[in-house]
Amino acid sequence: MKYKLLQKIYIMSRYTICALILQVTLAGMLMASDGNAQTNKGMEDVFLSLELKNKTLKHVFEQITQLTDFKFAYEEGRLAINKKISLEANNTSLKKILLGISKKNGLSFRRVGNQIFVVKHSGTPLVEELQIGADVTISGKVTDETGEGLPGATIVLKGTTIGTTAALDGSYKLNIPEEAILVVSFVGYQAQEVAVAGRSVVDIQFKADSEVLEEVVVVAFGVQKKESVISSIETVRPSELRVPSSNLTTALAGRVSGLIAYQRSGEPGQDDANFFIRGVTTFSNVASPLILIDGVEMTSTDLSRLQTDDIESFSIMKDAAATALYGARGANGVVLVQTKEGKEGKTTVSVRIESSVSMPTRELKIADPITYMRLNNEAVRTRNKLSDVPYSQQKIENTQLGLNNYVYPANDWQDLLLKNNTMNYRGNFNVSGGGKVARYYIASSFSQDNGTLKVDKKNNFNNNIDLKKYLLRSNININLTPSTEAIVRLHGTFDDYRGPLDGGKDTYQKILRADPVLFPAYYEADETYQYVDHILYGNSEQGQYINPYADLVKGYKDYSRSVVLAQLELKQNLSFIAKGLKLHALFNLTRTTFFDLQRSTVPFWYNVADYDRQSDSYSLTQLNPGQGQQFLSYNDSDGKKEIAATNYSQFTLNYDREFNKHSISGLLVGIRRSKLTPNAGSLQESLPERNLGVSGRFTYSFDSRYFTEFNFGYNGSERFAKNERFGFFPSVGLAWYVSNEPFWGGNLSSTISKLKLKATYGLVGNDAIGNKVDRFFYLSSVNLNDTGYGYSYGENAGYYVPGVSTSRYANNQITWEIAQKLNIGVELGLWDKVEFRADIYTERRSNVLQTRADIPTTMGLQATPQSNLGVGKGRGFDLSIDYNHAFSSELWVTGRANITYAKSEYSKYEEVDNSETPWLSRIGQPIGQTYGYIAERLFVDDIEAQNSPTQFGNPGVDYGGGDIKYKDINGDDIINSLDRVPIGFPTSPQIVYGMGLSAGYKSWDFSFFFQGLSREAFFIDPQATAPFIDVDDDASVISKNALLQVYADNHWDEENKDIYALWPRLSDKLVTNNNSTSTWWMRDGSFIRLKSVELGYNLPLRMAEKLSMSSFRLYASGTNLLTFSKFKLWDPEQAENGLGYPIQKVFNLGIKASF
Amino acid sequence: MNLKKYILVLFITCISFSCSDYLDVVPDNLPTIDIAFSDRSSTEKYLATCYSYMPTYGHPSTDFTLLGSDEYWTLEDPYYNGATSNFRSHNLMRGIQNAGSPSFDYWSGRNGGRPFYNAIRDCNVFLENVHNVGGDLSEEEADLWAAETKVLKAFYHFQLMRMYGAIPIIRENFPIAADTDDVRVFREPFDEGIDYIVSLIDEAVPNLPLQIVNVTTELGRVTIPMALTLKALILTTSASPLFNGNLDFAGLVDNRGISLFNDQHDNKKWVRAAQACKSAIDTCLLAGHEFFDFKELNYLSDTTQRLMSLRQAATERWNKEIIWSANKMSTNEFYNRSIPPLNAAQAGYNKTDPYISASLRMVDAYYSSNGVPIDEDPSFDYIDRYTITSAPADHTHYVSANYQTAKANLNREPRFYANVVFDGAIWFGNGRLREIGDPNSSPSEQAYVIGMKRTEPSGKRSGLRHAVTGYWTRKASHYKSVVSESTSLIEPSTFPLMRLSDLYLLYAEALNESLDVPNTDVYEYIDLVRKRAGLKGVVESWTNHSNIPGKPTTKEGMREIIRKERTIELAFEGKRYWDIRRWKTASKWLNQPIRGLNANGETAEDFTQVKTLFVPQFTTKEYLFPIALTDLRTNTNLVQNPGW
Repeated sequence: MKYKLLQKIYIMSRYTICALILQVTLAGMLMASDGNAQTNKGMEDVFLSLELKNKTLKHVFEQITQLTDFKFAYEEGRLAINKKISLEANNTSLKKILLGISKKNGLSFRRVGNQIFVVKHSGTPLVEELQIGADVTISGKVTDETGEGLPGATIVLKGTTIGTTAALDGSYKLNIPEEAILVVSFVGYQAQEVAVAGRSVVDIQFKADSEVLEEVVVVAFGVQKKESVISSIETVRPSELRVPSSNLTTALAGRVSGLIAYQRSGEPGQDDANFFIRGVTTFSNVASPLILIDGVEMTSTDLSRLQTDDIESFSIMKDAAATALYGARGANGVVLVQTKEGKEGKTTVSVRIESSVSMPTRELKIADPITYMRLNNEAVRTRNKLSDVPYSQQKIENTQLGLNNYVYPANDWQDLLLKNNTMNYRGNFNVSGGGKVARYYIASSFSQDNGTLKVDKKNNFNNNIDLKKYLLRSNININLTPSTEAIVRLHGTFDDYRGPLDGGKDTYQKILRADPVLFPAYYEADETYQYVDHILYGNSEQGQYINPYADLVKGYKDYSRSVVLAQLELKQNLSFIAKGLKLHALFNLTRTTFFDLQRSTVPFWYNVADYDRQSDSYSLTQLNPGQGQQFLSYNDSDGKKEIAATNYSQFTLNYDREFNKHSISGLLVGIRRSKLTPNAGSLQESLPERNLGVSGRFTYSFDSRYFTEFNFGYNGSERFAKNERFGFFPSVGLAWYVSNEPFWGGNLSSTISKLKLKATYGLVGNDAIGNKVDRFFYLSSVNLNDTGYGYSYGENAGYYVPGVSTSRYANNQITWEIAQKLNIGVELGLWDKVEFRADIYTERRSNVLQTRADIPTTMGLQATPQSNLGVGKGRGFDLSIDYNHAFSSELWVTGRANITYAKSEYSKYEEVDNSETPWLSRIGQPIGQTYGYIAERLFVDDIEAQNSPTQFGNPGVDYGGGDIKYKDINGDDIINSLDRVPIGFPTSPQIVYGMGLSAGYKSWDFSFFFQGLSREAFFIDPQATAPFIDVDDDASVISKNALLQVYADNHWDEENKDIYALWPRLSDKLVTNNNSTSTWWMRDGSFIRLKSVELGYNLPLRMAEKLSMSSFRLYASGTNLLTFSKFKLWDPEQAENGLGYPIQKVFNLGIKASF
Repeated sequence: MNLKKYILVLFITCISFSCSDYLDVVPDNLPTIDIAFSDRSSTEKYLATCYSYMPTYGHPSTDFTLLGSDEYWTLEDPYYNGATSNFRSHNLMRGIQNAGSPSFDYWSGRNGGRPFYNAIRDCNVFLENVHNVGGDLSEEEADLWAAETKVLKAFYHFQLMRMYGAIPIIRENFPIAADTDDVRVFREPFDEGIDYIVSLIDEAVPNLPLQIVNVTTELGRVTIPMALTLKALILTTSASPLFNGNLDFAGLVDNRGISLFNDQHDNKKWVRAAQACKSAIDTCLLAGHEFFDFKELNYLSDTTQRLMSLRQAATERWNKEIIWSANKMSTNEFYNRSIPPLNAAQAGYNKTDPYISASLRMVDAYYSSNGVPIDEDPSFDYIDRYTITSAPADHTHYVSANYQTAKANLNREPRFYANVVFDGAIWFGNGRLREIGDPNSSPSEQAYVIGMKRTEPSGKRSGLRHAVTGYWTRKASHYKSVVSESTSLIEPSTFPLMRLSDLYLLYAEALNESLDVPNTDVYEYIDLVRKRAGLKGVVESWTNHSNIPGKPTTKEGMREIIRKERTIELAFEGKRYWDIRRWKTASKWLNQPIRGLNANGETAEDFTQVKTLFVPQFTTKEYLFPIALTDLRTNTNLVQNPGW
């Protein structure tokens, strides 16, 4: 590589130069110590006596080290160091002893100073003594991950102080023994050991930062060395979570073992995925994990707004040992995210810009208007032969002929209102760097997500969903004194939304509830109305029908959400008190606000009054004279206004020390949190939510082989009575690093390079039980002025007295849920290429809050008391496999796969006596199990219906031939709620998995990732999809469901009495019989999809440097490109929300550049 | 070094715990139930709570007696799809009732029902505490309020007994922490329940007022006439065939082996009922209750005056005929769903959304102008009643002159014209307070003529808002109410739970049943009701005009006459729902087709075609409501009603 000094100096920050000076100075000290390293005596002059039987080589070397001044240096992976030998020596010289070992074991020994280097050697036995500089000269270059030279890097001969520092371009030169091992280190990187192995040029490249991070694992309130981690913690590389979306939570599914995640909607702003750590074991209220960002509790919305570029580490904590410190809040698992901090070094500017096209993964197909009319007629006639049909043959024919479109409308509302695709943009910018005193990381990002709604040129404001998100983050670390560090974090997330009044989901639903042939979206003005300047919206009767076009165009909604956070942290090193003692204090203030507001006009409705076919002209009539409003109006009470204020403080005292082979650590944490939501809606809800707690962790490990850990949380929550307010949550863990045992050697260690067994057990709590209104269970909730319980007396009912109501009876015994968790895990490394981790776990969740089922209505209680009655049981496993292999420096492959299986069931459930109807008992059934009827088939005819057990209503009248026939479970000849049985899998998946592969060749890289879930059932909503039916709850609105193409193609009709047709006999009225939850509507929710693909090109360094960049990357990516599932109607991940805003398929182009 | 370390640990612990009351976020002054009985004003609120469980009578979605019977029929158009909760009660008629999730579950308050056991608990809480309030609540007032609450408690029990038969009687509350086994109460035998609630009323009466003096603030509260009328109704109900020796229920035994219903008819129950009715009548008269007489518009003809008296008897707020009314302002919904649009513009006004029409059975029930059933009156062309004829001139106050309308709409008794709206009928009100042809007014001030054929203002103009039977009603309409295309000013009215003619007819019925042969008292009280309706006495009318002239002379004949009189007099007020059940005649009526005229007809001939709209199916089990399965499963000591 050509070296340009000026440019280099320009790029190098002040600190790099400092570091250079520093390291050069240190290197000088190294060189200066060379002479002192010589030992006076040679190996021949040292005599010793040994008697060792069947001991490992390692042990032998250790023994010799103890008896002499010599130390042995070897590279563990390359040497069968655990090979057992026997040795007997009586006042023999060391050289002679070593010669013996060399002969028998194919090893050679070279002494340099007091260091004896051991390498494999197949030739004659060799024991040499060498002088410094007397051997070979090697040279090379130390570079960072981008190939840039690292000036000032130190290169030291392992076990000695012999070494040198790299020059300005990273090159170095050094005289060492041929088989030496080098230890190379540089600030900010993990030190590396490199075997010279006879080479004369040894280039050393440091790996990226994240590689360093893998060695340390973020745990509750701190970090631990990876090898010592006992608890079940899954860490994800932030880069793996990068998908072309402005919502981080959509990337989680299948990426992290132990996480059950799925996304039900693709609507911007509403597209947060649901995620649960190891599934859901509770059934009272909150099952979602605790989310901590930089140590502070945040919501899943806050998590979704995070930028992967800003994330330093992302981990989830699964078992009791990992979460016990969070005490009463950790039972559902914890998601822990740390944002990046500045590092000492030059200023790095990084920019990422992406723009993408998104479109629904699958589109719902609706029957054409002609079919709609024909089948609507069929629906009426098949149910009542005498009824008038809604559409005359003439109307159908004229519509088909395409006569005047305003008089014979045939609307494809989807086409009219929905775009095929939409564009989204994201930009991200961050600057980091710093010096000795201060380091900074400043990031900002912007994203714009657009909806797929069409913007009509007739309209003067944009109604399509337009969600803009802004994010600002500043993390500043300041070294106040050599032992004191202050960290200031300022962070703001802002959402600005503009969209249709009804939101995306309801707009989609309205499209499916609008009559396609009754009126067009709008009329061209006739003679009478040619001078009006409002849009002449179509409607019928008095304008009660849904015209989705008008609803979309008539107004808009704005909302704005902001989260602002200020955080101050102080880190004090207390080594002056005790070595390894550190104090960390954290203060955080978070303020959240949200408001939305709406502005809208009132549409003017029109319909055709008269049509002259000869001249093809029509005249219009206004349906709501005097009611339409052309101007926007605003209603202050529409929309929510929410605010919340959270204050949090935390003190951590950390102690970490190693004594020879013993390493101990201790941690003590105190926390205090208060959250206030002032306009919560009731007095009790307006009171602050508070938590107080002390937690601790004590770990001890011996010789990197045996590890133990004890954790506890002692927590209080304001929700409970004084006697139940504090809870103690202990946990213990044990691990055995089998592959660090002395006996683990030879072929075994080269095949199974790592084996670690671990187990944890403990208690964690969950205080988020019950609805928010029921927060203070120990208090009764009485309303002494309840208008719902008042009465009016007097002639004109003019004397009103409010009444008294009780919405909760006091119960001071209520307390948190307790989760007992057991986790057994194994970590396995194979050939240093494959890493395999597996955990199996069980959980018992007791004290689950439930409503008592044994209180009869005749007690007359206004609220049924609740109690900690339920018990849930969970079990499952998470597996993950990583594979890393570099075929050469130019071709590499990494692969990852993981699977999570989480099954939970009710083991104690407060329910009525089900001894006579055991199939109704929830005990033993999965949590989230759906109960419904077993649909056998459709009735052949009315006669069969009349001769079968009574179902819903009168056979032959309310249901009959072509309607669903249910199975009579208890044989009482009536189908009622007692005949419901557990049907299908739960509605959230029990298995979530993902697998992906990345490969790179030279400047190119390519990756893909498949994700899927299974063991999930969902139910088509028979009411929402029932064609021709008004499902709108609003009696003043007339809606008419669209006809799905699949129903048009496949339903029971009188000519073809298909008793297994997809849709039962058509009807223009809701058929209660077909509307119940049953196996008829049950569908398999499993799918596997190509979740993401990315092809990237990194500009070669040389070219990038010409552009003054340190790196430049161009990439194309996509998400949800292919989906494979049995269910075809809509995207299976949307499950029962199939009529809502669809999940999006995204094609994306992006660039990332660093300077 | 250790000292410093300990100081630090101590420091952290202190920070965390320094304020041990950090978690005491709850202030002291939160409301608790004790405060509810601390003084007069808070106790008065609790009294209001006891009243508040009164169902919203006269509201088609909560009062199932309106659409749940054969008085009304309604459009159940695909456009509504049962989306409005009003159809819940209509579904009872359609046979859509089930034990899994019963409609109008008054036991628990689900699905349109009111939680009457909560009401009873609140009454009991009130009775436990009202005498301990003291302070500014005087002993007399406490006694009065306790008496009112006892009557309410009796009423809530009675309403449940009408629906479910034998029920658990909650004399006193169970504590909240009571054992599960204790609170698993049994259904109490029907007669014991009746005795208990009657005794509650008897206890209460001495402390109740004869009438409300302070009408502006207290009307609607319990009075002696109301209490005694309730007692009369309770005893009449318990003496009626449904609960007096009904063998259909005879086998219902709970798991202790106790029979819940009697299986022997006991005629003494009728005697007791008759006495209670008479005593109630005497007290009502003493308290000043009398028939409503419309006098507000003195320029009207006598005929119209009489029609207005009959129409307004139920609607006019707190008129003297009303003994008890639910004081909830509930009649707007009833009005909006049952009053015809009167002109084309109003038909397009979606604030009223009428679809509740009169069944042809009720149309046929009204007497001829001779005061006897139309099928017994030889002068009435019963067979061809649905053929067209021209309205004669002597009907000017009833039918527009020369209007082509069905014969059934002519020569009927005044109550027919007061309450039924037919094609060609005259609508007095809605701002037009002058009779047709009134020389002192312009035509635009004169009453409307109702056109009900297809496309006419009060007829079917679209899929919505029409009378599916071709008949509207007007019992819910106050004549002062005005609905135009843009406004609706609906005059508040009261919906009568008890009115004097109801009580008279109850007495006539109970007395007739208690005797072997009707006596003059029986005739007297039914004739009082007929006289107000402009009809001659029973004996006279039948003798002169009926082809069964001797009918009033026998007990069975009088039974039929009284029942018909009740049907007509109390038509469209929801009383028929209970009457046909207590008489055990529902299985006769509710298995016959519901019929109506052809609302799609555009000509008078087409319009008067009689169509069958629905054939209901009523089985014995439907005499009583089902107890919800969940309630049976929660309390295994309860047994289900027969057939459910």
